Amino acid sequence: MTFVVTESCIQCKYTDCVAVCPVDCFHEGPNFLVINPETCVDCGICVAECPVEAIFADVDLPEGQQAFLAINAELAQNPAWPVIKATKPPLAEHERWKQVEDKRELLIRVPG
Amino acid sequence: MPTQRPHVSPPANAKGVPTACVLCSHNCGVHVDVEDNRITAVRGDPDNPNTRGYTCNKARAIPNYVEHGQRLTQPLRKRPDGGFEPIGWDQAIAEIAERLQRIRVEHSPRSIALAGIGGQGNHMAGLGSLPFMFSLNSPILFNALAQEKTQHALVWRRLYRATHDVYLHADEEHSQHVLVLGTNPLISNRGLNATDLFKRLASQPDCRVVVVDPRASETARRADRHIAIQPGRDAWFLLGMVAIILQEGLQDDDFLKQRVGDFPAFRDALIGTDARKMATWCGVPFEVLHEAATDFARAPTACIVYDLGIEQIPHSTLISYLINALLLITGNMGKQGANTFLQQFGPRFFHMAKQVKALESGIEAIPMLMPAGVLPPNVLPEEITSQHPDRIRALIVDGANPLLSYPDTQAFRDAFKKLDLLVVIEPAMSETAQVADYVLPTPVGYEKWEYSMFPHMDITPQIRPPVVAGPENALAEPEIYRRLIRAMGVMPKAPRLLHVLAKHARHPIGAPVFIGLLGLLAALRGGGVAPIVGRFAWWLQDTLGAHLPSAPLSLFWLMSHGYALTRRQELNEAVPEARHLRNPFAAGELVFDLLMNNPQGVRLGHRNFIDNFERHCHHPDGKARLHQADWLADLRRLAQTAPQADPDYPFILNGGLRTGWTANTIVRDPAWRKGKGPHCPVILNPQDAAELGLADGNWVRLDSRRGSVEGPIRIEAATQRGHVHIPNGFGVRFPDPQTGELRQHGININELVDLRDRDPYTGCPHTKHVACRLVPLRAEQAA
Repeated sequence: MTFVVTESCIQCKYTDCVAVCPVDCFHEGPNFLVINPETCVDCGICVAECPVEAIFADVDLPEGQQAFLAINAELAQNPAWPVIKATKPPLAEHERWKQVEDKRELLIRVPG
Repeated sequence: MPTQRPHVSPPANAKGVPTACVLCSHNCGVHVDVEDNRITAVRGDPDNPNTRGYTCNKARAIPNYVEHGQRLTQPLRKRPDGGFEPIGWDQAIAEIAERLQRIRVEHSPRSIALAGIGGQGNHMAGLGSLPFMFSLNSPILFNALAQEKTQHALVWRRLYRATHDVYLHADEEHSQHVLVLGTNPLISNRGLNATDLFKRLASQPDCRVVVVDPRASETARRADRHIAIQPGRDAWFLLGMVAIILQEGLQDDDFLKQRVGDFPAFRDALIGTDARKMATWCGVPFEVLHEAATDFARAPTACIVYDLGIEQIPHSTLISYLINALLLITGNMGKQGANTFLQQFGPRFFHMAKQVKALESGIEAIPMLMPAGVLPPNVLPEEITSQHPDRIRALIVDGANPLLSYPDTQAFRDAFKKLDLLVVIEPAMSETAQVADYVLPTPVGYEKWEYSMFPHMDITPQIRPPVVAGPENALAEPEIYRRLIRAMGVMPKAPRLLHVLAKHARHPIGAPVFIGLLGLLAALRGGGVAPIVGRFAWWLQDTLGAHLPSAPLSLFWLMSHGYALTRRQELNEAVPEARHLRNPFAAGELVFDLLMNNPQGVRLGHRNFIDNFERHCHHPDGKARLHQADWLADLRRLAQTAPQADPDYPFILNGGLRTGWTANTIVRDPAWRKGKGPHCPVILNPQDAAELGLADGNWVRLDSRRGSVEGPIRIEAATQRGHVHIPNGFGVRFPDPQTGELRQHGININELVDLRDRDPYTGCPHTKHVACRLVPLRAEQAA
């Protein structure tokens, strides 16, 4: 079992979720966060924190978001995606991107 | 002047110190980092033989339990103006002892009562409080187990003549059919390493998990099947299951012939039950009930996982009886993949038959997980306000907070005013301490030697040294009771001979001599069984205890010998070094050494799947007594009685939903709960909210027949219509960090519970089934 960060996070990356995670299981990329399925303890506390409701339990993934289960697992292992422990300001264009639904091609896997 | 004992002070700076979490009964092993005598980090301990590195999120709250603005540093005495004044220990002990002694002599020993005993992981206090009460010859003990679980102990006493030191637990790991009742392990973490376990079960193709829950809980959503029963109808559901199994002849006749003496009479009593009516009355389609029954009976192995959701609702004793009946009639008792008896670390014990009765209700005390019967908190107020000459006049509250955690807060507030003396032994200025005559400060669990007596899967006891130093002027509970019993003139000093023998007691020859003489000399003074046991315990602590880092550890020394003497086979199987030891007292010393040198816990025995039933069924013929006339009569009546609704209070409140923010009210500082909240919402079904004109976050007043509370709502589709949840662990009054003023955080559910609404056999409250109504509040009415 784990929780999964899905498409809504891309280009917004609010990081409100990070503030409540008791086990520091979030990993940070340039414009997205992922949850490490190995460290997540399924407490579910992060779900309510996200302003754009990006987080779901693996068994509750909405239609079209199932691919993010593997994406979270993969990117959590990526050495370029460090653990993030504290909230930081969202990305500059978050207001514009929080309405946009279809943005997964914009997910940046590698920085720079 | 007590003998100088070796002083063990925890280092002010250390990393990875092994201890355990005390926020719930699983006591997961943790490592803590200590900086300048403060706990700064908490992680799972992979070396703990029981939990092997697992924790849930709540262990992170441990620093807030230890360090917060309401810690007590001095004994306090209530002033006539209602405030407190600090006094010295000697004066506090002398005054309390004098008042207790007067009550004991002028009225009765049973006019002195004790409520509490240890919380979720700090049970060493019991090594002082129980000898104290035994020495006074007062059996009037109250404990939270008796508002949750004593119905199970009652059922096991009747069916199996069980001892107090066992717990009937599901072996989910090896089971092919897991029936989950009244629990949401993925959030409550009930059971060993719960989230990991359910992960494994979900991925096992030959294991079917069936969750019965009014709510589409986190666990239900991952199960193979979720049965959305109507709230509080579990008794009818289980009765329907039993009836179907009997009617279709699906019972395990071989097992019944071997293990149950009176199955035909049981079958005749219930076989005529109308299972279709049972399905209707629990709000479940008949096909679903039928499938639940037949799948359970037909599975090669099946087990039942159960907890509070079926323990604090109507008919809780009958529900426990039906759980045992289901397991027995399908042969799922005492073997792998079924339910087996877990046993505490300690010596083999005998079944304690005679128990004290409450004066007003006649409800009998029930021994569970401790060698003394406990009475339910539900009857405590009426035992105080009773007109009987032996009524409770003095109450010691230790390791409990009745004004927050016991049902019907107003009834307790009123009853406490009638006491001659209320003494609260506490680390913090709790809600109950606020109304005490005397408040005596203790260290918290991490500041003293501690132990949790809850049974584990295997025998893996963990004696925990302190990891930080506590307030200088706080005394550990056993020391408080030792001073009190001395000051009351009830406990003479230990004979000099015992002090001499104690010096040689840590030796395979010296040990039996010491124990024998100690027993003889304690018994010679007479006074009755309880005072003799009390005297034995005190003299043990005063003599051998003086040579240990903490006096009550001497009782673990005794338990170690008891374990080696009476459970040697288990010891030998788990501890190879024990096998060649001829002298049983050498084996006992080995056990005690292992306990003292393994602060992360140590395995001293394995879970028993071989002769589990034989070992724990103590009826002379070795068979269970399934036929219980009074309970069967109740069930036959229940089978003819439709569940009643209360039209003025149409909602059912589940008082105490477990959430990620539910730790334990010993964590008083709410700062550990982060994020936007609200952390203590009133959780409602979307259609119910719409009909009330409520949106997410709007405030509502919730009225029961007993009280009213207010809070913001949260809409949740997983909640059934007509059902309402309020999270557990709130209602604490803590000083505002800015103004210092006491502010209540969240809802105190016990304001809503009527303590007269309780199980007739055990007095267990119906906290998770409170009839209520909801009244939307206008924005300006919200607190």
